[in-house]
Amino acid sequence: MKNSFIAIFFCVFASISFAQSIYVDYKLIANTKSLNQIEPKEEIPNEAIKVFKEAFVLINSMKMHLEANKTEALFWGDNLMNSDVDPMVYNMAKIMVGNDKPYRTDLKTGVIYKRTEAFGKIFLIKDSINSMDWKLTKEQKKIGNYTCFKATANYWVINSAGKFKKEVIAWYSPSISYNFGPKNFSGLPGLILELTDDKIVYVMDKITFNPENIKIDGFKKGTIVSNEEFESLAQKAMEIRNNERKKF
Amino acid sequence: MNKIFNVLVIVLFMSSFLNASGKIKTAEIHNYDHCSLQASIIEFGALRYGFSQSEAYEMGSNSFDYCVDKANLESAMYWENN
Repeated sequence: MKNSFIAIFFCVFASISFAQSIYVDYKLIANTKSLNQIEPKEEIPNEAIKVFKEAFVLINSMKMHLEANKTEALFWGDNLMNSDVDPMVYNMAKIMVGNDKPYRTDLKTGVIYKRTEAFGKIFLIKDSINSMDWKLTKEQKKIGNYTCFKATANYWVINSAGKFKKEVIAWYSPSISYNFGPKNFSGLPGLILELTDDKIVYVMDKITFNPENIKIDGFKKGTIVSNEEFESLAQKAMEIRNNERKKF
Repeated sequence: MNKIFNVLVIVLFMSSFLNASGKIKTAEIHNYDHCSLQASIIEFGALRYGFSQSEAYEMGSNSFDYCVDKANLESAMYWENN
């Protein structure tokens, strides 16, 4: 009994230690209650609330994936829709989680690119790994077989309706020495197995350790912009569109 | 005799008019006005829920595009059946 336990432990340890790359499936969980907790400055029409709530429910059926070697990672989402789902609402859910906007992280350069198509062009939104001011804590919990530590951070979303503080909680495992996580949340001393980004939780569903090293291809083309520049373009586009609507 | 004939003509005209009025259909209006309004409502909500400007813009576009497709389909079905 004791020998078999040691053998299993050795196998798990060896697969993690000698792995050259990993493939992680994350399942998504939406906190629908968070929509009710928000106190908007102006009342949101019931029609919009209904669509947002329906989209939130659909988030729970989504999965996203991370593939990484020791220095580079790619994070992307599935594009699978059930036939009985309203495509408009499903697309809303995809936009909420950034399902069709892959992220590529490079630890050597410290740069994260998010690829997105907007206004008839392809953009690569550039971010830095150091943009998140992580606070590491000693709080820990088990996720699967892995002991994880809690880290927290905040960021702000500034839009034409105001400033919104977003809270991030990451649970990372130092025993998995890949410093990546969902979206642009990287740079912790271990793989993030669970991440709460405001209203959405990304939870590790399955992890595969591969002995072979893999190449993470870069994004081939796109206009490189900062997040601020991209948001400014979106604001201008929205203003133009709203002015056009007023003419009719 | 002439008067009776005139009255008869009027009665016949009125009865045919009343009979036909039930068959006259008012054409449905098919346009995209409601799509613009719906997209504006979605954008408004997205911004106030704290989504980014680009996400709100994309949500508005998504809502508008699907609404236009739906309106086109409804219009096509109307003209096919009438």
